[in-house]
Amino acid sequence: MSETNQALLDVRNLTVKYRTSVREIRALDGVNLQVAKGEIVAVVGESACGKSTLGLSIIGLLPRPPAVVDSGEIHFAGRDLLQVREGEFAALRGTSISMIFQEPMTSLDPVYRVGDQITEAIEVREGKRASRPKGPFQKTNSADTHEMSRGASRILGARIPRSERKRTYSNEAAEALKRVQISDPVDTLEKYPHELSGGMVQRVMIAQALVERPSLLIADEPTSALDVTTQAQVLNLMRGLRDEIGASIIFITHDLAVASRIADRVAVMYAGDVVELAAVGDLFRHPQHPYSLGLIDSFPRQFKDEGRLEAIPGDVPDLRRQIPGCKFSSRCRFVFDRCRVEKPELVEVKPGQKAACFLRYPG
Amino acid sequence: MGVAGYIARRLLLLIPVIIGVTFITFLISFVFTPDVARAWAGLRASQATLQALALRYHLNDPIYVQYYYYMINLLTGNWGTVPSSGKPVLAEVGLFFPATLELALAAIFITIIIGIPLGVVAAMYHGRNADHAVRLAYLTGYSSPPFFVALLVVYVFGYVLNIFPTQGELSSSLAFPTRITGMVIVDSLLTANWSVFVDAVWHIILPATALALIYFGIISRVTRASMLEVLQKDFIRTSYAKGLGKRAVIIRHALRNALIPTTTVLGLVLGSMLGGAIVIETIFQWPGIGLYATQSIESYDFPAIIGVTVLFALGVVIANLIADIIYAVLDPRIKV
Amino acid sequence: MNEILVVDDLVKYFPLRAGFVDRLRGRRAANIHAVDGVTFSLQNNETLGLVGESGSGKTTLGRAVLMLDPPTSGRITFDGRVITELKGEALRQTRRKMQIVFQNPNSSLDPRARVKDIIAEPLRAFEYDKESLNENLLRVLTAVNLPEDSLTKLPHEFSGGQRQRIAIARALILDPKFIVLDEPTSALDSSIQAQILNLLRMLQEKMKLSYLFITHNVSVVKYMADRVAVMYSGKLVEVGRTRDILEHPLHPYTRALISSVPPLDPGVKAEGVPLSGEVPSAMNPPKGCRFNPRCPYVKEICEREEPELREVAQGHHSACHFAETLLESESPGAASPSGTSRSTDWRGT
Repeated sequence: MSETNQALLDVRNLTVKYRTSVREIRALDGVNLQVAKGEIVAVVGESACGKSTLGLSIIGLLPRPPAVVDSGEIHFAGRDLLQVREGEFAALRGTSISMIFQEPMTSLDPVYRVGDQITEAIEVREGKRASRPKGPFQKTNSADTHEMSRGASRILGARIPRSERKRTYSNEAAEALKRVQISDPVDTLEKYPHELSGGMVQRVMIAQALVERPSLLIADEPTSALDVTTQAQVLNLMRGLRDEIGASIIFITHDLAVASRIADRVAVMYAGDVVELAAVGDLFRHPQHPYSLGLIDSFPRQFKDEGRLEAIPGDVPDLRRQIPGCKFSSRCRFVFDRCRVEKPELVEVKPGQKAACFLRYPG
Repeated sequence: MGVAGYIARRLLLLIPVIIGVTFITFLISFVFTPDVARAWAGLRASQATLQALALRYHLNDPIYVQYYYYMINLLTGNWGTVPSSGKPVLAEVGLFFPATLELALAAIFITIIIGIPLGVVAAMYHGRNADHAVRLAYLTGYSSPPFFVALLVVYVFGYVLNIFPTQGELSSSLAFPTRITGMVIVDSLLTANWSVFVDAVWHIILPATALALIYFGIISRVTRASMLEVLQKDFIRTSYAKGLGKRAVIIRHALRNALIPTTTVLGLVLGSMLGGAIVIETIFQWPGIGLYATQSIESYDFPAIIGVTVLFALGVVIANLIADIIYAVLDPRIKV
Repeated sequence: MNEILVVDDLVKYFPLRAGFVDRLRGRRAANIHAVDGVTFSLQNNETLGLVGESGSGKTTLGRAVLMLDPPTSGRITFDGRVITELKGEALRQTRRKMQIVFQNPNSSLDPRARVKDIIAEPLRAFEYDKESLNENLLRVLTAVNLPEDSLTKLPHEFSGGQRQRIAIARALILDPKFIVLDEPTSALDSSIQAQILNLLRMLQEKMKLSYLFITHNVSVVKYMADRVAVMYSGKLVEVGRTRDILEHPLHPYTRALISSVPPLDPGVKAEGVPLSGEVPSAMNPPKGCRFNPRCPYVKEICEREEPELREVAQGHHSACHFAETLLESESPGAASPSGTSRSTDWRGT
């Protein structure tokens, strides 16, 4: 996939640090990534590689302090998101860029019903900030006798009464729940989050995204806390999201197999760098970066009597220290001198496949 | 079962608590007192009166019999007779209680409108100047003795600035409204007696504020801590990710969750206010049971003192119950 | 006798306090049926993989087998002795030979204790020879590939993978015969996971250990286990050799589970339709076969009668009324996760 100027999202040279009084951690070290319209890109890496930080940076939800954006640009819909102020950013979230997170059980507000929270998403989309809701425990009541009749309000050009708006939104919320395969949508609207299972809550989160129709959805390990059978359902639903509303998805995960199941392209991250960027088939058939190769090799695929896994020796590096050269050099089985001194750039090493490794440099 | 079952359970648990509390008051008023008959009859009672009283209250009978009659009397409203006035204790206490209730409710109202916003501000700007300023304010209020706060308020607003009246519930020129609940503001509202209503409100402002200044700190602190905890939660982040603006997230989601523990504390504070307004009432000459208690102590009116004690205890217990119920209503995760 | 562990009809219920109003209505307290009649055996020097999702009861089973949460009923025979009948000191003595490694290396180690004390603690619980303490400590440290200077450090000075090694060393110090491994790598990164899995296999070979390997990860169990037991809603639904289970599953749940696992190779097509519905309530399991509400092949008998775990093929047990039908319909090589062995065209250029 060649980069075009019409990329939906263009992250350029993004460097983000976490700065506390005692230490500074370079979470992202000059990251480059493009996402095209309607594309699903998986960002794969182990803990502390910066994948979550990348997601939070794009949607502007980095905890600042202690996070500091040192440099870089994030181009989206013709603007640099890093220059957008918080007040304006709210206008982008939900309807242009949205994000779902890993832990479903804490993702919804525990004191409001599920239906009310989906309706809230609809209201955001309609550009209305709802006035104080009637109260979180009252059912939507269409018997508001003080509201004008529909006919009268049309004639007088007044706003559609709030009760009717709520009813329409409720219906739409139920429809959205049906599309994410929740079996009793109307019942579920009345439930509280703690009454649902993890899988169901994640589906509610996807329903919220369906309703707001963002052009870019960032999913941060959305299936990691779910069972394998539930995970399969949710992955299918997310692919459906792309097919139905044309959303691009950045799917952050540590699980290579999940990435291979859902992604068009994969970005492999290590210690704050993107070390490989390739179409999913290319990555698994001929991985170019030793780390990608190591990750694939450490995935258990054989039976007990069929030989051993090749594990990557050593541990993930300490990001508090400035590491000279290639950050993977201490664990790389192909390492040579240049790797320890100079940091390799992410360059195209095969058509449509980029890697940051001197071993693969063309010529 | 949900909320109804929870409330039912709490109400049933109220019974053993009340039994416990009244047992203690029984011990104080009938067992531990040296000269029980004289205490109940009054210091100047004649021998004949003493003997009559001893018979009436079964003072020569075994303790468990006394306890039985005590509970019967308590439940039927026979809380004894005040020696100095000859009137039943419950009637006298009933005369003074509404004023205290009114004062406490007004004070709670002011506490809420000062305490909660300050707590929210302190949480949102935590570690910064606003947070420190709030902390300074409430520590000052909390650590000052109540009489000092009251006197200061009286001096500044009543004397120097001369805005608010400082004594009693109503100006002496006005008559009390028809007694429905006993609370002047409520009664004047119910009878549409506007001139009295305005005057009564004007009178309650200073004592209620003095009382609130002492307690708002606790509410601010709880609100702040609760907000800080809630703001860390995942669903706050998802609310932002959904596209909600800061105001909607803070008020509709963060505050709504943070108020749950705050409400419990408010219940406790209300209970405390019902029992602890003695100093405030005395200084402002507010005709509540605090004032009544002071007078009774000064005149050695034992039955009255015990009556007030029982009332205070019941007030605290019921305030706690209400706090628990509100908690269950606010937090859908509470089950039976 | 080559069986180190025999579990017979193990049941573990957790009583739930009845709500106040329920009690007024005369309803008895409900029970959570965490493990509802499980029978299996473990051979010497074998790894039995116990696979299940959340709510299956696998962790409860693992703990019950060690008598950490003593079973409600059933019999456990360990190394020839019926340990369910033991109490007090006699039970304690059997614990020397059975150990456990937990899932979360961050919470299973006392953050205030030095590694030396963490590893030595099991030894100190029994009579031990003070002279050889240090020797023993070094022995297990070497076994798990940790350097000697680890002994004086605190857990937070180590990475997640290293902490899990410490936990494994602690499990080894008493020279056990049997270790329950409860999701030992689920909290670790994939590259570290591979290291720990290799370590566990090496230790098993060297020290002739027997493992009960509890996990939800089908790929891991493929790599680690000789035989696999699949658990669903408190019951075993299928038991057999790993190859048989993964290549010719004879239970609809096992089939669904295996087909839900994303294969590593994106070229391999997704198998079958993902499972719908939710895991059943542990308090009120469905009548008949517990899987029937979600089973794509459900028939009338499934809703009525609970199927027994029975031998359908040699060494292959299934708890499904129609296991034989599945056996006949099996085509060779179907429903295997992640393809079979590594193929050479996966190597880089």
